[in-house]
Amino acid sequence: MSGAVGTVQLAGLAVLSFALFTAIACALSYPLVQRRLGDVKPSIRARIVFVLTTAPVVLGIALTAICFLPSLLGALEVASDHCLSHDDHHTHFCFVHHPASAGSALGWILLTGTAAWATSAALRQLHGLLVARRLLKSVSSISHPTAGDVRIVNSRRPLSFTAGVLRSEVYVSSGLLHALPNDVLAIVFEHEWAHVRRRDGLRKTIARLFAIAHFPGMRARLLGDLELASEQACDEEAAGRTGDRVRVAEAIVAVARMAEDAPSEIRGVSSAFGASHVVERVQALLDAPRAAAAGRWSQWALAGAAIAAFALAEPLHHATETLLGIVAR
Amino acid sequence: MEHLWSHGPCGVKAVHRAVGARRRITLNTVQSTMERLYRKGLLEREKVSHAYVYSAKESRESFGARVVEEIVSRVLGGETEPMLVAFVNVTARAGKEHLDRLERMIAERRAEKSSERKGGR
Repeated sequence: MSGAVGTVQLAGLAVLSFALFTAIACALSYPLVQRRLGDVKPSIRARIVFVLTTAPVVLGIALTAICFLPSLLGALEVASDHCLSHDDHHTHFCFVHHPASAGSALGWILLTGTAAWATSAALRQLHGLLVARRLLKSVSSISHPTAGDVRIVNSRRPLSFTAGVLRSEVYVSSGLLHALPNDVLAIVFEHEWAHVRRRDGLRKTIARLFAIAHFPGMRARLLGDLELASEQACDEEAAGRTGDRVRVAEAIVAVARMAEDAPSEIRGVSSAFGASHVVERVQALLDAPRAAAAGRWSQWALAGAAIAAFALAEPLHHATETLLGIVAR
Repeated sequence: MEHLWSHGPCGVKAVHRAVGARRRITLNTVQSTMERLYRKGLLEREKVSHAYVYSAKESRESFGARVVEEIVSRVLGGETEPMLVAFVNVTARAGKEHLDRLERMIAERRAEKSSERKGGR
């Protein structure tokens, strides 16, 4: 029994270590990656930034699972039992041959502390989501639907937004409806429907939750870049459907100008939404559109990762056992 | 509130007969609720004989508009930020100078496109 508990500790320490290494690698490499991403189409850039945002958690769990692969293959008798090659002093990271003890005190302190911090951060996110959900129910009750899948809120403020996680809805204020010409409104709606199609509400929620595993400065940078890439991707979709990139740029500036000129009690207080991306979005629309990446790069990348996982499982497993042996003692 | 807006000033018993009895809500519950609405400033009251007569402090329209603006303010204040994406973040100001510059850039691009079209003819 104590051996099984020891294996649980080793697995926890492995997840933690892989997550930390990934967070450090992201922090060190992101300035270079960010420069290169500037040349990439917004929809692809959003996908890459989303992957980077979730990388520490995903890779922490995935690499730990890969480390268990030799043990699994040995148990299924597909490969030889790798544990026979170890001496008595080598730490076993194996769900068949458990370590002799229930793990070190330092290891449990580390894991308990990390679990407490992660749980607290996740609960704060969940609480924020529940508050947001309740408020959105109120917004829905004060708005009325139209035939065009848009809900109208009776307010003078220039509002247009998409809200919701699993099921997003588009909201626009009566103030905006009366102020903008029909062709600009069409652009605003195309942009918001693009957010619905792309499931940006769900993506943002997952990114915010998983990003807690990054260092604070890196977290803010990744979430800001994800927001900008998502907005630009929706601008590109609106431009594609309406056929006029410059008109989309005009629409963004028109709404921003309405917000800028509105009295402060109508504009509302500054919030933690993030920096205004109006300048970057308009400049991107006035530039030529970025070309899409050739071929199905994401499928090839996944296939390559799967092959690498099988090829590197054994050396990764041994390296992890050696590292854990140092940490756990 | 709806009953008071529709029927004007009423006592607790009249409200209970019209609203509470139908929903199997006791007289005490109706009385506590109206007392709470009075303390929140949504109702006014006047003592007539031994009982209070309550009336709405503001009209249905102005109350509705106030509720809408309070909810919208909370949205703009960031409470829905975890699950909301806006066309333009109206609270993060772009700045007048930036907007002026962007409008000039757009006008220049329009002029370029127009002269390209004329040159193409």
